Amino acid sequence: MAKVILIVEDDPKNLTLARDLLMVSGYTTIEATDGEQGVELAKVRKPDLILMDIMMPKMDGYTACNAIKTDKATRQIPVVMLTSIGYELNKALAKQMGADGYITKPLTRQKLVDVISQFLPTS
Amino acid sequence: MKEKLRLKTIGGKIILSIVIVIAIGVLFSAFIVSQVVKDQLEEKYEVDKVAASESLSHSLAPVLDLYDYKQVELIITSSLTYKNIAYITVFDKGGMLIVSATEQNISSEDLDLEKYEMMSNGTVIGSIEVGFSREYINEQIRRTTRAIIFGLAGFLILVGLALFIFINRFVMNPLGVFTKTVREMNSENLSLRVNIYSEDELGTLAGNFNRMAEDLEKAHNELQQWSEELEEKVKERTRQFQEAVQAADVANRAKSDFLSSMSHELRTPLNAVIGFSQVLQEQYFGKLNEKQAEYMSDILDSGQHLLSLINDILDLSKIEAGKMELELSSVKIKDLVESSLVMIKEKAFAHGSSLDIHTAEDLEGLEIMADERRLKQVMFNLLSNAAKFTPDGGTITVESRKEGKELVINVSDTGIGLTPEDCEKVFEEFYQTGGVLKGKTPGTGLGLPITRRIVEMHGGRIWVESEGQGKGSRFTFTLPV
Repeated sequence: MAKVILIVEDDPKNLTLARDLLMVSGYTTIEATDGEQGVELAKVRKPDLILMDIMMPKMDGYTACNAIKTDKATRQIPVVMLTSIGYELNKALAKQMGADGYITKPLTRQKLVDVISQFLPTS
Repeated sequence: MKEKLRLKTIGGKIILSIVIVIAIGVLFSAFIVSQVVKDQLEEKYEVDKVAASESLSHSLAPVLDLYDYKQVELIITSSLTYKNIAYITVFDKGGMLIVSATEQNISSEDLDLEKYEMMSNGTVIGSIEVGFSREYINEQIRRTTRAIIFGLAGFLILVGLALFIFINRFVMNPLGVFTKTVREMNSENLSLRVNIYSEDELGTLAGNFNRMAEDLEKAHNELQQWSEELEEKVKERTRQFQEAVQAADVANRAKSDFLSSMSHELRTPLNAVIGFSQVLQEQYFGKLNEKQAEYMSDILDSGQHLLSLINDILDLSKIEAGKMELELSSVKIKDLVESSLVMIKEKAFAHGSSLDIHTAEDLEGLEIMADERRLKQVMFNLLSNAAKFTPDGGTITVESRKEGKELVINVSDTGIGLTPEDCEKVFEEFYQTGGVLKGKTPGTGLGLPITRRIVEMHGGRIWVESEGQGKGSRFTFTLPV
């Protein structure tokens, strides 16, 4: 059965891009468009991995990541932060919040597969 | 406080000198006066001596003529009351002693002897010998001299005392008042005045001093007022300046926030453009015809150019706003150079350019404190420029060595070179050189300015040299070791 990846991303076009690239790479996706929804969905659906954007309305990526990592029900799910080139990802803060890895945008299939395969060995 | 009259004080000195002058005068006149008195007394003694002898012989002669020896004795005994006479002896005409009287109280030494022959009717009837003593006269001289000396000494003491009182009253006391006032006057208390109203020099001096003090007080008050005004002005200016700085800070923060959010807003759609272009180019969802593939590639190139432009602008604004901080860590120079070359290898290979590295032996294992990611950015900027402006088959050389306390890295190429004007302006923002190779995407015009800022933030320098157009260029930067 295909691995389920939760994408948390507020920009609909970038969401579509991520979904399409993951689909092409053989993953099933579920989607949330803000941090709160992402945390909720992680709890309900228990995905295999979460891709988390940082700048989002309602709840930013760091806070959402922290919420997921402090909840017993979801803490074992790997969280990969999505950031932009040049945007200074606060690596220390991301690590403190429990992030497992990060990918710099613009997303390519190669980048996604390289990082995700570290956490989800291809069956 | 009262000035004590001591030898060191002016009064003391005046009194001392006057007393010395008077003392000398007094001693001198005492000497003269006593000398004159002595001479007079001695003269009187001599005269008395002769007179006494003569009168004695005159008064004795008739008595002796009568052989009234009793009367003779009476006369000479009574004559002994003359203070100068020590003894009287009367002889008869044969020279035999008739009668003698001696004053017991007078010593018989050092006597002046006077002998007179007594005559009666032209014949010698006897003689008289009188012993005069200087004891009395000497005593008188001594007494007189002593009296003169005591008198003059008393006069001297009186004069000194009077001087003391006068000088104290008219000089020392006013001086004391003056000194006290001057001593108590300072920058906090300039309102003091000397209360001396005598019509002498001290009074004049006090008057002049008071006028001067008044001027000083006035000047001081004015100065204080100015100083207060100045202080107020400085405070006002400082406040204005602080407000300006605060406003500038707020503006700067606003600018920085704006840039940060704008770059996010710009990059979000651009990430989608680039991402989707790549999806299409990879043809996951169907084949593209040749034209479509070409346009897709153009969209991707333009998108990536736009993204690097945005990133460079953001970098530069961060540097300008002082927001870019170096993340210092220990950086191995040899590794830095080699890993930078990896970034450019593929590009160089594609154009048939060769890459030469010359790293001095003493750089083996050399580490410096620097921001590794930023230094890689510097190397990448210089190398990708070299690659961009070097025609196919050219050579790119990276040399590094240590010169004194500096690490020197050259990146040179055999490319199109730079004019002297280019060499000067190439580090300015948005400057584009005249010559661009055909088919190459123009740069953002911000790579070299950013490179320069990063090198300078590390405490180094960067410059470029070129023999001229077509003769390649050579970028050099230094870093402190």
